[in-house]
Amino acid sequence: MSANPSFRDPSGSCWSQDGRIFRHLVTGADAELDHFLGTAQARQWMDDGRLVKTRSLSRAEFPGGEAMAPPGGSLYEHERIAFPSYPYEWAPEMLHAAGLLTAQLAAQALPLGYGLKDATPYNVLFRGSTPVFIDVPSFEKRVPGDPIWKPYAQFVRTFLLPLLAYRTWGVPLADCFTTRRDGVEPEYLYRWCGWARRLRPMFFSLVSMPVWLSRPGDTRATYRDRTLEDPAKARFILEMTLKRLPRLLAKVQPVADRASTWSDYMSTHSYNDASFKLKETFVREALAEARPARVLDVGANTGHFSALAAAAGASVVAVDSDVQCVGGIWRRAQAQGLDILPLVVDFSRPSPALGWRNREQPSFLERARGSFDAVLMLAVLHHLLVTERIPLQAVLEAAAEITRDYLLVEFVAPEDPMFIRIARGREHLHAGLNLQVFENACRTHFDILRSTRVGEGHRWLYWLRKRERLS
Amino acid sequence: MYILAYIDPGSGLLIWQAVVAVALGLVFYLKRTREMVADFFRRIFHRKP
Repeated sequence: MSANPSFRDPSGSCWSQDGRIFRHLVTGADAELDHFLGTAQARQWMDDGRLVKTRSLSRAEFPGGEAMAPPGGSLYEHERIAFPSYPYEWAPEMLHAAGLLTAQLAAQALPLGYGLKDATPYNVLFRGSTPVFIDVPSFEKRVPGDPIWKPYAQFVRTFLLPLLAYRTWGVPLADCFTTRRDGVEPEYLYRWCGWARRLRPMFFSLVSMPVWLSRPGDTRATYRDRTLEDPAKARFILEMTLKRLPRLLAKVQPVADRASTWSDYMSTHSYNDASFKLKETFVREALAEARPARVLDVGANTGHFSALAAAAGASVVAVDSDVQCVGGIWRRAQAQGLDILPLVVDFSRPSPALGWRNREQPSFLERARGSFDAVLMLAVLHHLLVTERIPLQAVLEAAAEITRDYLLVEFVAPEDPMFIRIARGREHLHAGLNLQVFENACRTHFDILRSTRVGEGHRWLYWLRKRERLS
Repeated sequence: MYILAYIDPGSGLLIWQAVVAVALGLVFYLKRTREMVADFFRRIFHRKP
């Protein structure tokens, strides 16, 4: 089964088919890519993981053989990145890392005579917490006398301005990317700025000057290609432009000290030390027994249990609706080398399918369905039931759709202090919810392998196994 | 060379980049002039009698 091929790049298209990633390039573009892939630099980037592994594919190797392969040009296969994610799901730290990778590759390609022909976060996916550049045909042979980096505007719109908006006003990346394909125009931020802010260094060069210089009407003269007679001068200008990008990124780097509602959970949670240790032991033992290869941690908060899953050998995707928490998990994963991909996703309102005809970026649930051997739902079920008013049966059904095998879920009874706190006087709506009701709901799709009460409180952990398992 | 630029190069951002490029071009000439002058004096002082 093949997913919708990409279509914007005139040099070819990329698509997913039967779990593999293929690319077709038209004649001309293929020779340029082949030459680039043959360079020592490209091979080194693929070896160190910064560039997605790519190989040429003969028409005979294509699934279904020559008859099924697109005509003309050349075929390639890319390494599959386990869980695609998009900038509207990233923590700002991750967009920053993706921007830095893009800027570094652009600068390091220059001595080879290559440049990047576009600079968008959609050229980057994350392998765990590490960014990987995936748009290999973006590398183009440069015109030696050309001093202008055309993707500069796209880099500003899609990396620098969203990070500037987040750092200045706390604008979530989802606001910049969900309804905008190509990032944020300078005009968008300009109208939020007072005159003093318009003259401050970052705003002056990224927002104010572009707004003041932009030309309405006939702009053919603006877009005419200009090359310099002295290629050394053009190279110097380009080097300085690209060298500036990491410095600009450093000025919009997200800071770690902002607190949010849930970011200090580890010091304020409802468990005493003994209960928390019991919870940890239960989770550790379950993971050791099941040894899941891929785990989804829903409501991951600080990522403590995601880290346990990663330590048990799993590749983890950790989702939470709190941007600060996700940023914190990413920093931790980077610092400790953990195979965790943290994403800003509200499980009750997950990322929709987006793009042209809603087919370019699949929804979070479409990507998650059947993709994980185990799902963790620790200290999150009551938030879905109480705050989001999702019926218990519906939550367990969603979990059953996503997991291929196991579910580890924490049941928080209505008597629990946190349950009462978030209910805000609506406890009567959950009067019928008790352990028996919960267990009966679990048995619709799962067998209960074992459970434990967490200390003396009103929380229980359940280790469940799906009855209808995918092979 | 196969180049089909298709991304939006912007309007004001493109012009601003060109303005900065002109300034960088001046820096390039100043740098090159300084190197030529330094090279000239290096050759004078290291010339064998």
